[in-house]
Amino acid sequence: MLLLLALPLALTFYLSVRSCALQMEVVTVTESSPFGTKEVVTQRAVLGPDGRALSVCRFVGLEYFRKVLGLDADVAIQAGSSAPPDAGGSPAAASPQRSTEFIGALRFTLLYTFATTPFVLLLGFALALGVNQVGQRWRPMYISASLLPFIITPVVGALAIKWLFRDNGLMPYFLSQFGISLFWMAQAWSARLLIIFYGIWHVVPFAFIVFYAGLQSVPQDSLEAARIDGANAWQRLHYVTLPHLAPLFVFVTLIHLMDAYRVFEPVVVLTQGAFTTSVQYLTYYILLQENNPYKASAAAVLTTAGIAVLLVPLLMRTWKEQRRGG
Amino acid sequence: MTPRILRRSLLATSVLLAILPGLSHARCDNLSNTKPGPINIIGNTFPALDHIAKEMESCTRGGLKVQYKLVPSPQNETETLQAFGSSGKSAFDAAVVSMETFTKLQSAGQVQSMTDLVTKYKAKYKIEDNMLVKVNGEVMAIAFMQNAQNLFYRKDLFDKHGIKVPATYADMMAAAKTLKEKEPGIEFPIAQTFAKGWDSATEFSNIFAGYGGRFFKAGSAAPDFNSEAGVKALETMKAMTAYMTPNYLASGSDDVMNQYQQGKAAMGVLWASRASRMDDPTASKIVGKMEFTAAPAVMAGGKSATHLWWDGVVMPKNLAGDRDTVFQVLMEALDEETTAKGNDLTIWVRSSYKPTRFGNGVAASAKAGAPQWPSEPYFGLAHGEIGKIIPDVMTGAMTPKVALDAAAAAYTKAAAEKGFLK
Amino acid sequence: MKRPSRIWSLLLHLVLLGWVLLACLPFVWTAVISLRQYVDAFSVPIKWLAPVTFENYSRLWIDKAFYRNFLNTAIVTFSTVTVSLSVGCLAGYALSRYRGAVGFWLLLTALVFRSLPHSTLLPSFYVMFDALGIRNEFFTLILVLVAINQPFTIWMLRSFFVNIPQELDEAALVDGCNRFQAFRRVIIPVMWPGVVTTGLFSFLLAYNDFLLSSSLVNAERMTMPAAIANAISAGSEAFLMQGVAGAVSITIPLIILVLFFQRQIVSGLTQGAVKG
Repeated sequence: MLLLLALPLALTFYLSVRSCALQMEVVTVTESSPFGTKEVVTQRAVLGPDGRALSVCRFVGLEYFRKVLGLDADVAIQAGSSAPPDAGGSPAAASPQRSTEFIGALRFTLLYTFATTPFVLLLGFALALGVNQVGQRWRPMYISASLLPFIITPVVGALAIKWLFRDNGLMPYFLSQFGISLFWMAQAWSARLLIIFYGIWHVVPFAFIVFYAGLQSVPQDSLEAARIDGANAWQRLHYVTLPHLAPLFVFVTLIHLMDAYRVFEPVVVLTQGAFTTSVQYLTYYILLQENNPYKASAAAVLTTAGIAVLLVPLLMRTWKEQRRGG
Repeated sequence: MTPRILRRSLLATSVLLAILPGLSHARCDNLSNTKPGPINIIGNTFPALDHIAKEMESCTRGGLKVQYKLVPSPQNETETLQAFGSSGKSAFDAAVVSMETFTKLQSAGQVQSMTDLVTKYKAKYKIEDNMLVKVNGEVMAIAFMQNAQNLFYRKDLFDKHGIKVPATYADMMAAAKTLKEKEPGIEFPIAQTFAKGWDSATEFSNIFAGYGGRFFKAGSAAPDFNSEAGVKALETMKAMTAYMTPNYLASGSDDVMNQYQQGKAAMGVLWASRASRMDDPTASKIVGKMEFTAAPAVMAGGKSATHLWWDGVVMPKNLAGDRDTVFQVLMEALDEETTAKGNDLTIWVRSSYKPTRFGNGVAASAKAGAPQWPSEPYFGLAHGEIGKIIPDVMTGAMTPKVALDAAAAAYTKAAAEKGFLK
Repeated sequence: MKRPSRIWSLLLHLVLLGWVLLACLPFVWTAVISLRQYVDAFSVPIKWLAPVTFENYSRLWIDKAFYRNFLNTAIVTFSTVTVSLSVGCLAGYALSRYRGAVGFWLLLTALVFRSLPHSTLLPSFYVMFDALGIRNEFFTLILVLVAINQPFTIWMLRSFFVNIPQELDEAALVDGCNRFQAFRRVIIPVMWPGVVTTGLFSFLLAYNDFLLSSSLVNAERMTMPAAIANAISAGSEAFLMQGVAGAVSITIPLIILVLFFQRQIVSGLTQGAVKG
């Protein structure tokens, strides 16, 4: 099983430093189609003795890495918009999808990750507190309903949001009643906001259910003791509940960081990468649209490096805790 | 039941079962010398292909099992290129491809010649010469449907405001201006597929060709699209956006269709294969009001600014199955019966196709001199690079010349990567 | 606990209902338009009331044989969950009896594998499976799905097992069971909520998978999410409506699942990962 994952990874590393191209020759051919016949000067692959095209593979080292990172000077745009995408989110200067935009993809992915995390934690916790306060008979309903955005297939969820927010959809119509007229997918800031909304909508239930479960396990005697000591609800929360739930906050953050980094479905469905490329989408795009498995592998390796960097501090912390806690 | 009655009823049932299939005409009945086994075909998710796939589902004679995998266009191309280019046997025995994909396959030498099979089965399946796609005399693909982007326009609104059918893009924009001012409810009269990437690059290609632009320097793969014609094409596109929904960078074919069908837009250049959907009352509010004609030219007297496309079937060189069987299955799927049954679904190449008014635009565009979609294998790379810079130009972040130069530079790199340029 | 005042309680309910509305709105709207024809579903301006039709569903389930996709999903998901849980339980149990660094390394592996973007592995999978000729098989897809999720499953189950005191094992062993019987007769019943929770996570991962399912299997063997994704990007809005119906069809089993198992999820989480 480990082999099943280690092998492709190794293969990806191998692919990322190579490039294969067909050997091409210039030919003049007569082409015939439903629209007529004509002579064309074009290029065709040189065929080997077995009738298959000859492929020339070579080791290119870090060439693709440099390309994907945009360090390839030739491709940099001279005048006009400066390389990686808008810093402040100005719509006019928003860079289009470019194969060199790993930095841009990373930037958006990180924006998405760090913008959603605090809201996910806050809203999830607030919800958990809220549901914890209502009577037992209401809880199943609230819990089930709240879980929906999380369990829904991401593709389906993203599509549902798309159909709500599309041009002349329900949400723009609703907003226009308040005088706000917005084409969500048309500019950078709204497209990004939409994906961030999706992210929050999708993950809050997960945070909620974990915190709610945690709240069930808060030691009652500590709470009692605190109450006897005269602590009000706020103080009880602060001094008893929160410390108890602290590891859960870490857990949810960790899981969310990993998942947010891999954001893919909303990008594919909602914006097709316009203004909002994510790292996983970039690899997918390079592989499928540009049909370049080598460059895609380079992007994949960079993606993996990115998540490693992201995870290291948290893991170090967990390890220290583990050591302490034993 | 006593054994005798049981046996007799079993006998009766089996006789019945043997006769029954013969009563209904199942596909593949008259295939000869077939080898049993699965036949996997991959294709696009077009209504016409869906129809063909359904027709072939009943093909189970002699252990044959025909399976169609229909996927959206980009995926179709990717999987076909993957399968046909793999060093082992191809995962698909045949593919239904657009001419764009065919160009890529053909230039990599991954398609096998079908000349002998055509000769053998020409009479049986009435394969027409028109359907044959030949390279240096060898049949490499069989085309069965054609398509082009042509002008859709709301005849009722045009008549109402006394607007003539636009012959040039300038006419079109003038018509749009009139409608925007005079027709309530039409805020964005033009709807066209300006979605970033493939769609907008195709728009550019059409208009660029209309200006007589050449994509590559003669006889080589060196780019020439960053010429004056390219700048003019981008400027024309930019001028059009004034009459389009602000969300035009996300407008794909479905969105454009929706705008027409909901009566929000009144004109634009769109795929002929979408035309029949304008008249479906379950999808459209403007049944019967849309008319179709040749795509406008960019200058008076110029040729229609669009390209002609065909879609056809190809067989890989690394075919796993029996080529005779596969070819028969393919021809069975594309015979006159299928065409007749699905007549209105697309613009068939077969002469037995009865043109509907939805096919007007293609015929008119062809007559007005529209060229065929470029068939150089490196064209796709150029197309891709152009599609990347168009959003910047449309939003004004880059000037057309700068953007085209950047695209040309990027293309040069990509072409060198693939071996087209030294 | 002090009973909250009436107003406070009402306010709370209002807020919670507001959230429920937000959470369910996208899906509810999708369900509503799935019962309409295209011209009404995406009408401009929005149509609040429109004729109801079930033809999207009938076209999807019957014409496009969505029931086959449903069966495929069932096969893939069931197999993935079964294998995942079996291997996970055994491995998790075994590992839980070793204290110390094992926990950390396991967690690390689990996180590394879980954080890996699937698109990273895609090109290699393509090439590998094509060469081996096993690309369009259920077996392949199940294997991949299990492999990707296994570390996480093992880790989750292990953290549940860690919370079961070793004394319980000891007691069972003293009573004459061997290790395996101890596991089956004593530990599993106690562990059931934890197993259910992990099983549900596994289930969701397999059921909702889109990227791998759509790439590794062909038309006949496609699972539901892959099948409707095709319908939605298709070149015809007729397919779009079927895609909408499909989206709803995919979600209904999930809703039923959640309604049934929500108590187990909570108690499972409470017992296991929360404490651990």
